[in-house]
Amino acid sequence: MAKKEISQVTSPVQKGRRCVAFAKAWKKHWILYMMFIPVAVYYLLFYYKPMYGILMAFQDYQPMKGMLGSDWVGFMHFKDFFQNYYFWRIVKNTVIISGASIIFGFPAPIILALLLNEVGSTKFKRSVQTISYMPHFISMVVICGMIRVFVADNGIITDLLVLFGMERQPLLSNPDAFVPILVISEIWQGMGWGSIIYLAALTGIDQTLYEAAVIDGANRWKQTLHVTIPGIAPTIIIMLILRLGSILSVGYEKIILLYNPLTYETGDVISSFVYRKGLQEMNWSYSTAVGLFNSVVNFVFLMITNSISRRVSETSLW
Amino acid sequence: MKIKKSMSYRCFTVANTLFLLLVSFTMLYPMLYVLFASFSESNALLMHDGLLYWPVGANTEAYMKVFNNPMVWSGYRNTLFILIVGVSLNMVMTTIAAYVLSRKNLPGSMAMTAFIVITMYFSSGLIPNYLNVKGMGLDNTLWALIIPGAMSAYNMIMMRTFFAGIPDSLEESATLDGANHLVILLRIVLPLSGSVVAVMILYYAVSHWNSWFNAMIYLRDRTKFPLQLVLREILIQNDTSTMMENLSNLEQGSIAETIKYAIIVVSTAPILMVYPFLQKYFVKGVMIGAIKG
Amino acid sequence: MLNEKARRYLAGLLIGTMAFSMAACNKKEGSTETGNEVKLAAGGVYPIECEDTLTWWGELNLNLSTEVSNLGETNMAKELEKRTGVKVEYLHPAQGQQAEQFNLLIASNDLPDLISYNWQGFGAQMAVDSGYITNLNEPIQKWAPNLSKVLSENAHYDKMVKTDEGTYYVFPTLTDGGAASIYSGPIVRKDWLDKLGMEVPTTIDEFETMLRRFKNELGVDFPLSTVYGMLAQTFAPAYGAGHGWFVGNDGKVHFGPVSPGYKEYLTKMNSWYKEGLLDNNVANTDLKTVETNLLNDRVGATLFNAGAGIGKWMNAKATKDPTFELVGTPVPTMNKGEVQVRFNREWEYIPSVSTAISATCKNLELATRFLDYGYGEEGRMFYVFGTEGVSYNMVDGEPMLTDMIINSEKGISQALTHYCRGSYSGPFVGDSRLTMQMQSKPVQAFEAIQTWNNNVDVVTHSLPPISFTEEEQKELAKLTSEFGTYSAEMILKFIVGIEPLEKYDEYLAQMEKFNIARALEIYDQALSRYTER
Repeated sequence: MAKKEISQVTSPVQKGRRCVAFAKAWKKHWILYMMFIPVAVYYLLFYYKPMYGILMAFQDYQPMKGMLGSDWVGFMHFKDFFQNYYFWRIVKNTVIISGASIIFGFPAPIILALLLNEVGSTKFKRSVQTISYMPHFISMVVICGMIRVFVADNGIITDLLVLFGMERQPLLSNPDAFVPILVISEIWQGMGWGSIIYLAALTGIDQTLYEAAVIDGANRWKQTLHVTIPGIAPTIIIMLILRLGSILSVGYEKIILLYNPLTYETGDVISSFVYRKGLQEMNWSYSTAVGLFNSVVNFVFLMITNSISRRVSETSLW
Repeated sequence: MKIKKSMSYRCFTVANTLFLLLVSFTMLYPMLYVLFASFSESNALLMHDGLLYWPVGANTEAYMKVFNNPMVWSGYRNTLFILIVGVSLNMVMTTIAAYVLSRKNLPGSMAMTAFIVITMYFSSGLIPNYLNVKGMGLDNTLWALIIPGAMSAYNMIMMRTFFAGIPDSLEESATLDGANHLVILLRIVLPLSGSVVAVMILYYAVSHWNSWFNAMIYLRDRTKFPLQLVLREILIQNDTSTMMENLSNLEQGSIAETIKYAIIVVSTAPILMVYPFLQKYFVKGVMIGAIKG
Repeated sequence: MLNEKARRYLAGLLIGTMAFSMAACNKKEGSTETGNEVKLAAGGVYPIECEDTLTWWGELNLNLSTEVSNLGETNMAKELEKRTGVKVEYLHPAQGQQAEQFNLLIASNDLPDLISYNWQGFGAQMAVDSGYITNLNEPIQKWAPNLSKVLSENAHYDKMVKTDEGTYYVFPTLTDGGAASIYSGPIVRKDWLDKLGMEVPTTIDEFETMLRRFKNELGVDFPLSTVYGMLAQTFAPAYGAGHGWFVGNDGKVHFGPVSPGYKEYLTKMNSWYKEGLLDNNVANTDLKTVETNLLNDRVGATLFNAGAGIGKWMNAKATKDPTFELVGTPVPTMNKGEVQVRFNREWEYIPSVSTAISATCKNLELATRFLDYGYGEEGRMFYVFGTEGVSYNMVDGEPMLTDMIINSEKGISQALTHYCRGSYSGPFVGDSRLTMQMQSKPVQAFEAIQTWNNNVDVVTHSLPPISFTEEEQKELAKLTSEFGTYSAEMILKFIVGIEPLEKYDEYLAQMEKFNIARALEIYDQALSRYTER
């Protein structure tokens, strides 16, 4: 789409037409454009102005030498990263963890919001809402400390699974259990917090639609299916686009608190790998390069999902 | 609106209530655990094994210690300032951007959106950012924690989505009455968006409340530290990983477990209060009233 | 019983301290170290008359950070200003991520006059060459008589505190090497040993027997439970292998997990794991779990350090279960009566907290003379013990902490930080007479440190504080990100038996492929540069 605009600019005739179109738009909407100016200035000053920092990825940056004095090394850091023995493993793990948390974690807050929506008592509903968002506020270290206790070989969750026929074992030493532990705890921790935006969206649904549905003889299930879900669909879609646009972003904080060398094979992700490397040597350029790689992949995902969404639904980022 | 409840729906309601109770319990427990632990006696807690159902050797020693730290009080003050000023600025900026970008058929709105979304992905990195903020003379002031975070693209997109869902008919009729954009925004769009405004306030308040990294980067004067940074410093003393690094230290500066939990309570209780307060803005049916009125 | 014992001990503290000092000296016989007797100069002329203020960037001690917001508020800083006549404005980075904050200082080229940071790790020579910090060779000669004397008369200090090129770059934090150089080791339930009528184990076999009897006769869940990081440190030495980088008998650098003997160590750990002697959660046990299990009588032996371990745990159990007693046992050897060999030690130079003078410092002479204070006799006493009559008194010629400090509810080190820097770091030579008074409680912790430092060889295999060039560091980081990850993974898999030990040779071959040889070469080069200093 950006390309299209550029090609238009290159044609003089179209350029003229564009100018006219813009003048017309300005005349009609100038207040809106004026309103946008503070926002634009903010982004220019605080985001675009220092964006030259991305070039660090192509340098051998030394804080002592600064951006201007550091040597240019081209794609060296990217090559280092791609050629690392563990590159495919960490990318694979990252995508699997991220994918699992999208597949299982993304619908969870929506379901919670829908269930809360069916609750009649306002008091009960508000209490559940408030309680369910609490885990979001407990520090990761404490949460992970609890997880450790629960899944140790005498932990309460292990006990439960043994009842269902699992062999007793310390679950955090089992590579196969790592992703489920991570994703399930994440759902548990983030579900309530995540449902807030959907609860807000639910309030925006035009109540006359329900009345119409009742007149048509729809039961609660049908109402949910045909009124509620379509009502919050734009929010769901936008959230999904944004979520898919962060497919390679798996934070290291929780991972390094839970993994150990036995679970590297499923638990070591890009960010935890870079974190470990950073303990060895603080390499600004290398981490910038990995970050840039992540951003490009994420951005591509965002563009793809966005354009799919634009085609199949009304909703898109742009 | 009265809906005749079928048998199956009644069953569903019961199951739903039970399920939500269960979920609430599992989510409430960690908070209770923290609360109980914070009121426990430190040695008793150290020895305690398994789940906690009540403080062991109940006392308030940990809280005395936390509140005896002068930095905790200045931390509260600084955080409060950042929160109030920061959220106000956030809301103004976000609302403006969301309103502009939610107008249908505004030429260039795609480019403007892209202009903002790109910054979610391509950011400058720590050092250029620091030099930029420092260059504006903001370093070592609380403004460094407010102005560079004047709005979040993510939140703006949420708000825009909500604004875009408001029926056009309302605005059209207002435009016919001669209302300009400012009037439409203040008189129609915002009053209809109570819940999303509440969510945005919550999101921004929580993010200001929880953030410590920028404070760590930009502030040198310790009396300006926000609460979270103060508490983080105390927690670090008890961090196993730093202990491992300093395994050979003569005497560990390790603080009692109970203080760790008291800190979590002290630092989360105030922000937990915000949501119940905002919940009353999550009201259905505002729109019908607006249309009919 | 414990109280009585503690009282008896405290009564004889002085004697004990002296005996220990002698033991420490004996231990070092034959080595180049001078132990307790650091030769100091009489000192320069203080207070200095000058109006300039110096800025000093450095971490605020953790103990202090909960009580004051700036070091300048402490009695220590006020007294220091009175004594030296120099006004100092202290700047503190927030705790936790100093490296980032330091890099920002460098990047913005806005350096305070004095900066306490790990310049050695950052690249001292590069920092001097690129004009960030001052080359101190001349200033020390001209204006720092105390430090000059310390360095010229203590060759082992001199070697550590300069770069390979012979540049002095910091006013170092030094220790006198007199107290101890090992503070961690095996910790065992003494009351259970007594119950079984067993002696303290000294060999691997005895240790194993003890663990087995704990399991079989006392029904202990986890005879040995520890944070994983300590395991190799404690048990690999018996097999002649270190746990990380160490100097071998051939004088070259070796990497523990690929060194001879490591396979035997793994075999032993694997058999302990299979037999249930070693905690089966070993891969992810954190300190909290070890603590809880130990205090609930489910652990018989663990590996940790004296103060934060024995001290804390004994204290926790003191009222609930007075029979609970821990003892520090020597690192087990292969044969009875052998010397405990340790592959890691504390060196007398602590680079991470040593202070450099920035190149932009306006008054170099003032800064140099100010920092030199702590290397003279008076300055050292002040930095280490504080003010006489306040934090310490001279008793029979020995500085003894006052009751106000010893009996402080906050704990000794927390109380001390207001009056001196002896409990942490600064530009001075530390004093083991302080550290020993700090470690005196409880007696079991003190004895554990003695046990771990008695009949021990820490010199032969410990890697000295070598430094790498910029290129070397980059290459190492790159190599380590591959073989480090692989090795950590495989070692643990061998221990828990996921990979059979027959595959050890395959593992070695793969490590070769990751070019461990090149990493060893880099270490060797750095070591030989160090030796030639």
